[in-house]
Amino acid sequence: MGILGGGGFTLPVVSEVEVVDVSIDMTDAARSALSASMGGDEDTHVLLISAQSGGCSGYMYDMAIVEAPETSGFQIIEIDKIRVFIHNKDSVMLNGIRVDYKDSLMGGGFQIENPNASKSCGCGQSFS
Amino acid sequence: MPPNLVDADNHSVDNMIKANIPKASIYELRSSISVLSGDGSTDHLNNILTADVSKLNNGERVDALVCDSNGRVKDVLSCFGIDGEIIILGIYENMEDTRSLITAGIPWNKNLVLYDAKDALRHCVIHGEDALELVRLLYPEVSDVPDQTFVSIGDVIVSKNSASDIGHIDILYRADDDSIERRILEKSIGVGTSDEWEAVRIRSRLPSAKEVDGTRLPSDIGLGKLVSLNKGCYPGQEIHARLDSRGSEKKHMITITSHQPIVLGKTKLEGGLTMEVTSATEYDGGHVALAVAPKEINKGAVFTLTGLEYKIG
Repeated sequence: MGILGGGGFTLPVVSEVEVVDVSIDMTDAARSALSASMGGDEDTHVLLISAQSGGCSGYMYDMAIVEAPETSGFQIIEIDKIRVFIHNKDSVMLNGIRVDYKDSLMGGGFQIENPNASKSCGCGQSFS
Repeated sequence: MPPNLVDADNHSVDNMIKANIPKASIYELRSSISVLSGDGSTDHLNNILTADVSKLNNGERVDALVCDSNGRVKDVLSCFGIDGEIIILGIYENMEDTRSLITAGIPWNKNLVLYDAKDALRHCVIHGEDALELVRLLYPEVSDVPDQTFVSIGDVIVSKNSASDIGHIDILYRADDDSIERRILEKSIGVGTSDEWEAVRIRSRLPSAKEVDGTRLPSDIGLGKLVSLNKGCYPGQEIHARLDSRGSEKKHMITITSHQPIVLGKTKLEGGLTMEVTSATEYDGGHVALAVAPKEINKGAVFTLTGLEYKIG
């Protein structure tokens, strides 16, 4: 049968993470860079910002332009006609972030400032 | 050696250090037990832990630490790969923080589920020099328990803990299965009390929640062996790599024995050294304690404080 096997053997799920209403801020530079990256696909594509375990500080950001996923489980924020998707499970970690864009050959690109982060690593992609 | 610490190989408190340590005994422990299920569960855990669990296969075990971004130890986990799922054994008092860390970091597009198994499964340990002999007495069908694996006997899994220098074998079993209790009764094996376990744990320098409180580095509490410096990023990795490259481990965990009670907390010694007693209990008519101390304080040293005498074991 095995330690986890057998009929009728079930385990309770550890409770889901807290969900809050998300608001984010985006600088003019980030709006402009995002609009250019979208390339006119705003109707079919969205910016998806997420967080997951990783990096040297515990969690890592991810930003991607993707085809609009099923809206179930996501909060949608519209900025300059661009839809930003943030999943409910990431809402506590990403609420209040400020997205900036730095036009630099080294260390440039989109940057996230997070008021919920107690610490960020030097590369800016990992936080805790 | 600081001025108040003297070599004392023949000192009177030696008798206590040499007191009989049980060759092996069985103890029931209250532990955090969870099960992580779903595709990508090993990769997810690998992002969090100090040792490589990315290739954890069925029947294998990996011991690792959860650390914060400052490299301080927050939990000690044992991961068992079993039929595509991972049983995660940890310190009971640190369970909520560790579970929050695991669940909060699950990617939105991964169907990973963390289950609470602390009531459905139980944990006991066989600890002592002759731990394997006691396992064989309990389970004659077990000839050996190879490192980094586990042996399944029906609903029971038996596995060696790599964090301990002394024989230390974990047994996990289902709460609805009384076969282990029947075997213990049949073989007339005594089960140690929680007080006895505390004394054995201290004498064997096994950290508990009292030492794993989020303020200490792995090497401070004898857990440096559970850190892999070449597995890639995990919280605290930068700190651990820096400590390794600079060789700047300054503290270690020591046992203290005395005929007098040993007070918890920080103690300043002559010579400017400070040690922190983290656990203390009575043992065999005397007292034993665990302390995190500078590496200058070595085994065999004796010190006196307010006229009372203590020995580093």
